[in-house]
Amino acid sequence: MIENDYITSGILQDYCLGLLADEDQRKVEAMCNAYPQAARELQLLQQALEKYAGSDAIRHRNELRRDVWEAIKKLWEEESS
Amino acid sequence: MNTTSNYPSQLTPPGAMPAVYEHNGTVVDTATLVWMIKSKNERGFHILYDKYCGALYGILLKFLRRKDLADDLLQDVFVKIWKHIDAFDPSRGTLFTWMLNIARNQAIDYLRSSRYQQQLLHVNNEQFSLDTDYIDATASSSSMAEFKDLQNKALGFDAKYAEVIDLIFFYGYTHEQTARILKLPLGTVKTRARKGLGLLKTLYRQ
Repeated sequence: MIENDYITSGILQDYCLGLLADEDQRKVEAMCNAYPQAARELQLLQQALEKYAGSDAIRHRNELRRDVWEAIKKLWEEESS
Repeated sequence: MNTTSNYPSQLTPPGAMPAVYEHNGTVVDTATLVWMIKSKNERGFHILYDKYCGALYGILLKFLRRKDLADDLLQDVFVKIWKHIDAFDPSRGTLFTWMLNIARNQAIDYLRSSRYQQQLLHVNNEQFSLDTDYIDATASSSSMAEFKDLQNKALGFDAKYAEVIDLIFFYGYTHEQTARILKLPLGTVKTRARKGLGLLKTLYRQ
């Protein structure tokens, strides 16, 4: 089972953590295109990292959302002027 | 429940099923979200903000250790995301990883800026003493580190894996740099990185 061996090799974890060179990244992407189970495993690992990062979330000011949105609108105004 | 499906299908990452976000009863996948941002859609901003502001803010706090600076830089990070969204290539990683790189680079640029270096000259405070070339990942004196320890204990995530994942993923260090910082053999770091991420996957699926 090439697919199972590939999934358990640890290379998908390396890919998620950004530890692979460009050529190796392309190989992982090609494998995930060819093998749905590998693609699914990659997605689960990526989602776990996202959740882990989110677990650091600190409650912060509600006004921050408004400030960020105002800053983005200002960018659009500058780009269109 | 509605499903938003009016988006260019070529934005969907090859191989992987797109991540899906719930927002006010509507299902929105990554490709749709990117399309909304490119279209300067305000709802797209709120979806992105709700989903990722906590994670991006947490990353900024990891580096800066000050909420006022994290507040300022969060604005800059979101503006950069909006400004450079055309550069996002879904075939080269997730939207989250791309945004994380922006947040990390923004924080490092700030810490290396002359503005921040001036503060270092005038303020003798432990919270300003972060060295961007050498970060003591094992320091537990800050409230952030204590908060993180509590989170990991609640999750059941062993600290020996957390410190390796944090240095590689959040701070962007290589295996070799991580091994030097933690004074561990290179092989141990590689094993812990892979095993740690595998454990996170299992823990979040429980």
